[in-house]
Amino acid sequence: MIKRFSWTATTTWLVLLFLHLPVAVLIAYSFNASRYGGRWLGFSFKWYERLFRDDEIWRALGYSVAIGLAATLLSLILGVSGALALHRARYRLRGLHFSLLYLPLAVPDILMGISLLLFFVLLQVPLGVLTIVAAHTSFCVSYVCMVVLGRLQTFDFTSIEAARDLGATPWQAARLVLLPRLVPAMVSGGLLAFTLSMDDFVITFFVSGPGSTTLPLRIYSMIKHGSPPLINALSTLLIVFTAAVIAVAQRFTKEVPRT
Amino acid sequence: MLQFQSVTKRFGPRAAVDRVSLTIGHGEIFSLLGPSGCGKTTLLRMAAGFESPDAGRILLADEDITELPPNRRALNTIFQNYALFPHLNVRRNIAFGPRLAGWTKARIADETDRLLHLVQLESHADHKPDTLSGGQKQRVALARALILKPRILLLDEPFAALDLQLRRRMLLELERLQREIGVTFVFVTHDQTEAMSISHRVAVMADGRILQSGTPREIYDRPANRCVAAFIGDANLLNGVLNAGDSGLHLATEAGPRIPIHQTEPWMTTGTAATLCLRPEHLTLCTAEPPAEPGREALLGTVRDAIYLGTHTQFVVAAADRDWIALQHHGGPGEARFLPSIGDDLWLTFDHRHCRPLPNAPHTTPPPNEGATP
Repeated sequence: MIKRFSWTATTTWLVLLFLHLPVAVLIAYSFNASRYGGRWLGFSFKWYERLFRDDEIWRALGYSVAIGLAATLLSLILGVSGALALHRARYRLRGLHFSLLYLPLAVPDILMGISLLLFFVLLQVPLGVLTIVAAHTSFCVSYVCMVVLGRLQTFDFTSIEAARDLGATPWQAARLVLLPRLVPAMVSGGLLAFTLSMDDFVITFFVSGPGSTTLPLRIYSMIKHGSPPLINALSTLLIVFTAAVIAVAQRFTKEVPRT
Repeated sequence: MLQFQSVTKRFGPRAAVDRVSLTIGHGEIFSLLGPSGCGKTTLLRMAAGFESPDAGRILLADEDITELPPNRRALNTIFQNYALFPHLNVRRNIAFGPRLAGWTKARIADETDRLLHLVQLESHADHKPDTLSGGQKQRVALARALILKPRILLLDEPFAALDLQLRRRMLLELERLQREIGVTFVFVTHDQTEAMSISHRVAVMADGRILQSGTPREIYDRPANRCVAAFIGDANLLNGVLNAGDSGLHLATEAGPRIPIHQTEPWMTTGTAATLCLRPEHLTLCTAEPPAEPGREALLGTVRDAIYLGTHTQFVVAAADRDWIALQHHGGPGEARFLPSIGDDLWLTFDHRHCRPLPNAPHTTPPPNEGATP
């Protein structure tokens, strides 16, 4: 029996391979007993053991998570209020504010890093965890704001009036009618902000100070001083963790009715 | 019950509602009728509390509610798009008001069941609004508003999104509800048929002003001016000028006929441009030239169009350089009526008695307390 050759199937597999083969190689090598890549010297958990004993990595992860949570919380507060203002208010500078919202997406990270560094130095703010949180918030806000704005497009504001008509105070109307509709956007915007913050290297590189080494910065310095297998093990753990988060997020958004 | 006292609302330089005074009585079905942009919705939104007037007062049962926020007014609104809460099911939508009002759980359950039964949606209690049809959504909106036992229900174009069949059914249903629970209904609509068929009284609005208010019959039979006549029902509106002749004041129309005026009104002064209003059902069509008769006009014309309407046929007849709309009843069984076809030449006759001279412009300044109490 001759199996028919299908372009669609072949290209699909090639693209998937292209995208995920490096990750697969990385995962495989995290179990490689060899200190150097290239040669396979047998299966081993030793890099994982080493990883769990490396205090500096755990401290860096702690910083990253703390900074990520803080930046997510701040950008959620600012982003949701900003989206509400941009969607509802009609004022002269609205167009300009929309462009400013898109700016952090378009401006190269390195420019943002340098300008933030100059800004902090000018204000004589000591570089450290706080400046990193501020920097991360400054670009995460844009993402949260845009996700929430997208959701607001489909929100019918007469339902707020309906709630007011049925006896709700402005605050009750926002809490009982608007908030439930915004939760999915806030969850996805928040997850986006958290991953962006966890992942950021370039901007963080500029605005970090002594004693505020985040995980990406730590990984970078580890590569410079040469311990790739350890990084392979760390990356594998991060991939597993990210996949789990995505799975949970998908579960969550499915339960919320669309539109 | 609901009273507007010289209420004005401006959006920028334009007055959306201009010194409107109106009293709506207890248990009345009242319609605000007018083309879009005439200010009827703004007036309703001010009653509900979503807009605050720039001048004037709004009273509900003799209590000044002008400054009261929407959540503290004893009236409820049905929105044009129903504005149901999409994340709540039908039952919880209906129970929204009572929950806020802090009713006991048992009372909420009882009342919600009662309302679900009233609008015949018991089987859909657990459905989300997205899964309902237009008519069902509207009944949910109705139940959600009525559960709080408002003194007045405000309805903003409630049937605009429904098809004709459903619209008729909902109208009947609303009338039934109104008889059962005795709540006052205030409708906003641009659909004159809807307003005329359901309302006890109608106010016709244009450019933020009330042109005329009264029973549907009063407004149809005695329109206050050209605008009202044009908006309510079909009418042949003839341009003309008021002249004083040998036999007294008369209206000389551009089309030819001169109609004597027997009953003069304050606006009727010599030289004033005015309109002659002639309803289509008052025009008679005949094949032969009718004998000349005092007080009766006859014009020779040609049928340009005929629209069959079941019990009637509407004819468009070209005569005296203009089109005339005439309505001919088909008559009962065995009764042969003259029903011409397109292209036929015929005579168009009408009686002076059925001609109404009307002022062209809407009233200048309304007298105080216009919009009579019922």
